[in-house]
Amino acid sequence: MKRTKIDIIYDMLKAIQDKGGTIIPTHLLYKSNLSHQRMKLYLDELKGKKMIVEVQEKDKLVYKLTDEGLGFLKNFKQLKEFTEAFGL
Amino acid sequence: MNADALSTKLKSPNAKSAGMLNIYLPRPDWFFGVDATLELFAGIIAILIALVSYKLYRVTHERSYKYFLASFILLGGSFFSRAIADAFLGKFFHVSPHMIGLIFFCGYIGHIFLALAAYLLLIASTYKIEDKRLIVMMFLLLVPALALSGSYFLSFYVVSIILLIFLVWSYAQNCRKVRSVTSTCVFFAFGLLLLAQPQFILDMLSNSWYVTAHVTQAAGYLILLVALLRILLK
Repeated sequence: MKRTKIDIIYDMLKAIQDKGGTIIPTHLLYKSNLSHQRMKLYLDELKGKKMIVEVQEKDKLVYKLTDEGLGFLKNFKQLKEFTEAFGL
Repeated sequence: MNADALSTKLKSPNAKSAGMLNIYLPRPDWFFGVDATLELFAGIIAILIALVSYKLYRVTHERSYKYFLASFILLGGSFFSRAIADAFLGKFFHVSPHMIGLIFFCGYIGHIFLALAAYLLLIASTYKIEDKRLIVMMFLLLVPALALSGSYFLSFYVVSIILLIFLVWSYAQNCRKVRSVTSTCVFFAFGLLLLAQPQFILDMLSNSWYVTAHVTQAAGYLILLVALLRILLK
């Protein structure tokens, strides 16, 4: 079944959480199962919504999960059911 | 309720008058208060749905959630204003004749405009209409349809039927796509809200339609409450 937008966001945030809250772009690309171009679009959206932050750590670019991102993961089941029920 | 449409028919014991404005209330006597309670019930459920969508809007920051949230706040406000008007023009409160006109306009006209704005925003969120100008234009198109009408209530229910047909259509498609109990509940709930509208028009013919319309509408909101509880229990 085709993943919806919130499924993709969930997969990306869950991948970061599973890696202890910090992930490098290559691992995120692999875990989220997206093309590089689509992942960039989603990353921009997640950064815009302050669910993740991009930081430079030891010459490496990493993405960190924020409290907003954790809030999304916590409410995901309700969010998915609500979105599907009302077709949002 | 077709209060203005039947303004000249004042033979009923339920009729009240305020200067030039004559208001006919097509309720059976035993239903006084019950209608306001059912409207209050619908308003509370609409506000509960708005609270849950606010929680989810804070998480997602999606525009469709914002419109959805706004639509249920307006729907809640619409039912509260109508419940207050029905209670004041019923037996709960004794108001002076000159107050009746004010209550009528604030309560019922408020109900009409808030409900139509709510349905429009719901259409915007369901059909993913992002452009605010389009939503404003749709709302402005409704204003002359109501203001120039001989009967505010008749126009309101006809416009509501049209808007609800589009919503039910969308929820039917969503229900077929998602195939979950909750989406089916939402489809049936809005189906019942749609069915209630022609019954409100028919209350011109018989008081019993006014009762069945309220019961159908309340059943719709009860099913929405069931859907909401299923979501919260996830």
